[in-house]
Amino acid sequence: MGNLIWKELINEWRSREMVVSMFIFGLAVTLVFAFAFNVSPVLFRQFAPGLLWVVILFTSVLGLNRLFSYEGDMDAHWSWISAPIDRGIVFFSKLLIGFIFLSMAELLFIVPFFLFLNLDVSFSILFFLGILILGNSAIISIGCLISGLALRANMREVLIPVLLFPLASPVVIAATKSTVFIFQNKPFEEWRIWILILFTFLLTSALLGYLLYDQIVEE
Amino acid sequence: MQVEVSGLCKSFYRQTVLNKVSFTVPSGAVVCLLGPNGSGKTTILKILSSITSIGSGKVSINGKEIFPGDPSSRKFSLYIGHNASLYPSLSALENLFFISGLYGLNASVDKIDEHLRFLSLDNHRDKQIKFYSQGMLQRLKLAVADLIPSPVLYLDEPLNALDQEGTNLFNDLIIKWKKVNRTMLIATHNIDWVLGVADRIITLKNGQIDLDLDLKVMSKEDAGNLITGSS
Repeated sequence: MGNLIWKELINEWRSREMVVSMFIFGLAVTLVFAFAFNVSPVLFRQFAPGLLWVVILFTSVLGLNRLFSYEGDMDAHWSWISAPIDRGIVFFSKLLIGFIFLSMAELLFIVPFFLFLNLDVSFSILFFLGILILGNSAIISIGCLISGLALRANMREVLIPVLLFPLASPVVIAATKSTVFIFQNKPFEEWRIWILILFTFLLTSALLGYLLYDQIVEE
Repeated sequence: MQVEVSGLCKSFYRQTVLNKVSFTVPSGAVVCLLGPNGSGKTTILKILSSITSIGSGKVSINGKEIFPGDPSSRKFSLYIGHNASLYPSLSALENLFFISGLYGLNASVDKIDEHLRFLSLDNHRDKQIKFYSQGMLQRLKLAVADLIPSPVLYLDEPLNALDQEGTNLFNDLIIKWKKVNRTMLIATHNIDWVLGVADRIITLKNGQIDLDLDLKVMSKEDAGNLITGSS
């Protein structure tokens, strides 16, 4: 696993494509939202969580595309497909790296998101970070599963969003609902059901990814 | 280690690529697959190395059947494809370090250097391989094959883009690998080269075995005439 993560980190360090492109895209969409919606800050606060998770979902597609597309250059993925390693471990390394890179890009564009949309930060930062971590990992987990399926597809760039958006919509809904409750400083007991839904999706997709990756990546 | 293939069939999009292919690669032997483009050579190698799933049939190494989902099935073999199967953004040293890790070797820099030096790549070891020429990539693949001591080697078009010096180095490697009893299955188009190194030649046509020639019981000249006559 350490070997696989080391390889991903070096690749990203050399190209700097994933984090930079995700950050620029996230920032651009945030700016578009800031200029396009001319409503009062009170109203904005109500649908800001939805906008935030839409930005995160769109941004994740860029990262997922890049995370898997370079495997096809020189058929590099054949090196680990034919190696005597558990291919499920490759899924987990992709999940971990995808999560780290998405979180890094997110940390960079989330401050401008709050600044440009005039959102005040009078809520529990800890809960907010927790929901970001959970939501990111659930989206990336589903995304890695889909990207593995699309590894050899000619229309991979199209296939990933087409499959990811409907499959990740329960995650986005649960994350948005949780964020709304966090922004309104509601007690955890009122919205813990959404956390359970997020956990369920994360665990199911991670388990499916681990178990099915063997068959998914084979031609 | 002996590789046995029996009744191997494979179809892609309802098109039959392999049709009941059966053969044996004896332990320590060099068996070469010849055949026109699309005859199924690469598909056989990819099935044997678990990159492509088996349609039907059976593949076994030393009598133990290979199941693609089982990582232990893959620990005896190494596949060197016609593409590099290496990461372009990584240097030669990093790629070899990564591959050795996949096979549980964690080779030292000195050990990797030794293999790169043999293939005259030591001066380029820190260069990202996306800047390598085709010939250098081919040499790097041979360095991978030399570094990972798997008892069975599947080589797809190993002579592509190699200059005369590279071909000579590859021939030296084959002699070295034969001494340590490595079993080799090589897909290539180069009949002259095959007649010089192979213990056995299998020719394929339309996904089926056309000729299976044992060079221990027949002369190279006769084998050459049969191959050119059938193609």
